[in-house]
Amino acid sequence: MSPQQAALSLVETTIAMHQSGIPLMRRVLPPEVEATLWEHYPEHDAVSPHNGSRYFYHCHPVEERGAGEHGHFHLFLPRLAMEQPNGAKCAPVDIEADRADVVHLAALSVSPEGLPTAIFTVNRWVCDEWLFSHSDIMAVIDSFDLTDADGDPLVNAWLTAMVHLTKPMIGGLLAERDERLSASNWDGEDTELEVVSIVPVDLQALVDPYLD
Amino acid sequence: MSKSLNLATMLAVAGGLTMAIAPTAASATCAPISRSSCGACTAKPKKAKKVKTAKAGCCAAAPCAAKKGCCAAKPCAPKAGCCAAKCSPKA
Repeated sequence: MSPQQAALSLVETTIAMHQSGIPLMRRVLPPEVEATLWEHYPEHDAVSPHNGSRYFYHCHPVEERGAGEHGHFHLFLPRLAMEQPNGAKCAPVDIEADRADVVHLAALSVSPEGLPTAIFTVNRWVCDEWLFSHSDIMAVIDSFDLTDADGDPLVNAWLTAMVHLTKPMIGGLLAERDERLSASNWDGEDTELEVVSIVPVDLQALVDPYLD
Repeated sequence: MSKSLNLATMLAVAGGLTMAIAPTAASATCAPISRSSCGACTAKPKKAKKVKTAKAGCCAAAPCAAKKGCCAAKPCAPKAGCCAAKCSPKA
């Protein structure tokens, strides 16, 4: 998906959600659902049956939230999507534990108004992921596609477009993450280090170059 | 499409999202200490089956493992066509 296609998809899905009267975050957290700390929305995550792309939204306790954040989406590819699936820089500590075997691309913060505000990366322990280098991830990030995942199709399409539109930002954030982790010998288990790199997002500024 | 489109207006949730988010039983247990130092995450790694549903608790940032079928603890293999959440044990 080219940046232009991603921008248009993001705009089209935003308009479709607006016209239906149900904006993005009301689809993720319907008014009748009482949001609960740490719970995944949707329950059990939304996962593409064909490529394993995955997301969930959740909320931290208020003292652990980013400034002006309600919650955030975590966005993943499966480890097996990597060109060298055994080439992780940091592996889970307990390899035999049941896990989803994922690679974290980035997380997308959402404001209390329901707007995306920032993209950030996290340390390995946060999502119990297989942490691959930014170059390994960027080599396969084009395969991220939630459009056939379970859950709300417009949310899935919006998040897919968002990842493709912000690919350069995600690449930069992952490179910055790698730089910080390499300085500590790739120890992905430092629980004092949670958010490793972060950048604010201005959605309008992202799409405007592609609008007439 | 026109630059006059205001995406923030279209995405905004009327009245905003509820910030009073209910704690789970497990997260309430973990509340006095930070998630990063919660013993439930690090002291009992063999009880990962409780983590895989990510229903509650301080480890809930980890993604949910598929709950049933032959791919129970694995992601979908991109070329196998095996859906983690839907395939049967004999598929």
